[in-house]
Amino acid sequence: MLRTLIKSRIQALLFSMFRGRRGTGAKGGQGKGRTIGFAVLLIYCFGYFVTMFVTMYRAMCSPLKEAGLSWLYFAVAGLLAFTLGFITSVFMAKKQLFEARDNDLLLSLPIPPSYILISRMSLLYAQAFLFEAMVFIPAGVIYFAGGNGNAAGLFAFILFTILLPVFTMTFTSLFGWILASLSTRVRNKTVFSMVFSIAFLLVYFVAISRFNSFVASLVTNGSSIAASLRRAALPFYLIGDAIASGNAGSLAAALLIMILPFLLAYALLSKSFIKITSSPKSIVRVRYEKKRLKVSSIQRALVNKETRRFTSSSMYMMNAGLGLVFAVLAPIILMFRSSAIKETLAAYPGIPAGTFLIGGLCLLCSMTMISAPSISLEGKNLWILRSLPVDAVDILRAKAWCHIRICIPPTLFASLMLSILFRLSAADTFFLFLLPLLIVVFSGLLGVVINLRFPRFDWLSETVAVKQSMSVMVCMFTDMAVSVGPMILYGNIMSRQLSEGAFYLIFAACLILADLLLYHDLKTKGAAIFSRFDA
Amino acid sequence: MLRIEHLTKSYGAKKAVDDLSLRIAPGELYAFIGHNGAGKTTTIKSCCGILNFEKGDIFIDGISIRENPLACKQIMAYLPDNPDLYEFMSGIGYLNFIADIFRIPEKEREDKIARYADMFEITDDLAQPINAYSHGMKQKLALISALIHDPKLLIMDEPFVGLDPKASYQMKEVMRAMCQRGGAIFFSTHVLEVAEKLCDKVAIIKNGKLVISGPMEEVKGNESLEDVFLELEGENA
Repeated sequence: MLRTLIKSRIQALLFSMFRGRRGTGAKGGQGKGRTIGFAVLLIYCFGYFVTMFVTMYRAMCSPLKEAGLSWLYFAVAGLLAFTLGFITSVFMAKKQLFEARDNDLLLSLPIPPSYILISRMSLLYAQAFLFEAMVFIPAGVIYFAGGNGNAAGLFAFILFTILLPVFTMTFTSLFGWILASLSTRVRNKTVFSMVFSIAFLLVYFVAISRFNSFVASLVTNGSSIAASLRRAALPFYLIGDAIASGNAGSLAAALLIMILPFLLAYALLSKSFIKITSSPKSIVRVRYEKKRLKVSSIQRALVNKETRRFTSSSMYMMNAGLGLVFAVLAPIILMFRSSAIKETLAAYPGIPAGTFLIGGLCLLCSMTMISAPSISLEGKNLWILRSLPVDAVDILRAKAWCHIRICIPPTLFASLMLSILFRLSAADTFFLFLLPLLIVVFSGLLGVVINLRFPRFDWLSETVAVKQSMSVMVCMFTDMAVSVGPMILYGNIMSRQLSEGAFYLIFAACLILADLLLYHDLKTKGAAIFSRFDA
Repeated sequence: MLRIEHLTKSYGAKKAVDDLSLRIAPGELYAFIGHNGAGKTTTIKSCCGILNFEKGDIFIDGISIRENPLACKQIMAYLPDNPDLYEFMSGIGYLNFIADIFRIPEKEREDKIARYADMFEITDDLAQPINAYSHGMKQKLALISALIHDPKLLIMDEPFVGLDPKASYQMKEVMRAMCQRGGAIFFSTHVLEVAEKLCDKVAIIKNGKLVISGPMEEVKGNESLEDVFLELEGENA
């Protein structure tokens, strides 16, 4: 029974990633091509992160070994794998364990709740293992391939490769349980999830922003860091010691620290599983009072509907609107830490300050993905738009405009703040306003145009449409390439041949042309594709 | 009001609807019955312009759904078997959205929403988000949204599923009143007693082909509709 449950979880995951029904226009060959494309993108992302960590471990391995701190090398790798796995999957844990749509169905069958729980935890384990493969395994490969360590250490490394994800999964499950318990008691779940998501993100980005300096100080000042890490994160010290020296005592203690919390957490969650999954939703009943209804034009009604869709889901807001959060936060942080950008500018002497700021803001604007999943998000509701007397062009325009109108205020705020903070010239200020806005329009239109080609209507969780769809990935990479690619090209190659003003003008003209072409595609081919979607 | 001519729709190699033709005149209440997977929903969705088809054509009040879908959708309404509505909206928000799309003036939409919401007893719940609605409440809300622009043609897929007895009764009254005003209704159902008592005409579909259609009395003769249906289902089974 347990095997069947785990198998069904894995099937559901693979189906949502690779085999979900696309739009009706997708033919077999196209579908296969898209699956391959998606797999290639995933492999690319995986390869990118592995390369990044390999570079880091290469820099760390020898100095720490020479300083007699090999255990610290593995402790850091373990801590990184744990932290990344925890932050990226804690909200997934809440959804997977306690808010899955088929919980009611499974609980109505003669299946022990503990089996349902373990089958769902197995997916969390798989995700934690994925981070392990990216973060922890490269550390071991570099260490042991360099002829370091002994057989006992290698055995410990293999053992922890399997067991460290259990440790991560234990904490994500427990935290998911706390979040699920709290969310049954709050009225506005969207705000609740938003607050927690932003808090996690801040922790994540603070950690990322200090990561490079941490690695540098680790290499130069390993002993003092080692002492404090040994006190503050004992399990990771034990892991490091067991692998680096093959110490059996450390191995046994680390294993105990990993397995015991898992067993306790599993017992606790099994006991409260039914209570949490079956607790009534805390919806406060509001009695309708008749009042005047606001009349809107068709276009406005459609845009309002898209905006409501965006603001009603914390998951959609956090994943698709991340760039907006950064666009607002970046100038505020720079107010207090303007030295950071000056240091960065000094590191790239070829790039003028204006170009750097414009490029940076364009990059932040390109990270907003509101329109990219907007067609897929129609899902089972597609019949509504398809059955109403609304022109497909109006529907698509509303989706793009919703993206644009949500992005404009934060973008203008960031442009204004940066132009004041850095006292840019009139020309730089003009382009600091113009180019990010053109990127916003580009991103909004591109999202719709690409999503029409890669729709996913068969999702069970909107997470699939927002986070795991081909459309979002293609848009993300294209937006980033278009927003910063020309800036990098200019800074590195063209800055001697072309003045900044001339470059900005050419870039703006190219963006206007691209925006017009995308809009034309949306109105012609895009509308035709939408009209062919079967609801 | 509704003219289906040689409708053919396939899913891969399987023909879901095969050369189906049907006419529904103004004022007629037309039942569409058939076994599960017979092609009812495919036919209905094709009529509403939400499913593309390979052959044939469908005319709503003389307008081709292929050539002018917007004009067709302006005068008709569709109620699906499973009312998947915008769960992020409130009930009143959804109705107002539909009213905006059909450009219904403020006073008129307020009056109609109040009348139908009172009739189906969901007025108090209109401020609630749709994700808090039961299946029956969603069905009622979808029905109100379908009636809000006074469609000439109402196409429904299993409209009585999930409705409480009182709402079912009110719905039948609304259907009769609409047909008396010259509108037409085409709906699928598995509740043969309802079809028999309520409808002027009936069409039976089997494996994508229209087996029989016509006035209710002619189709069933001296038997019940259930007997006729079971006989037809048994043939060539």
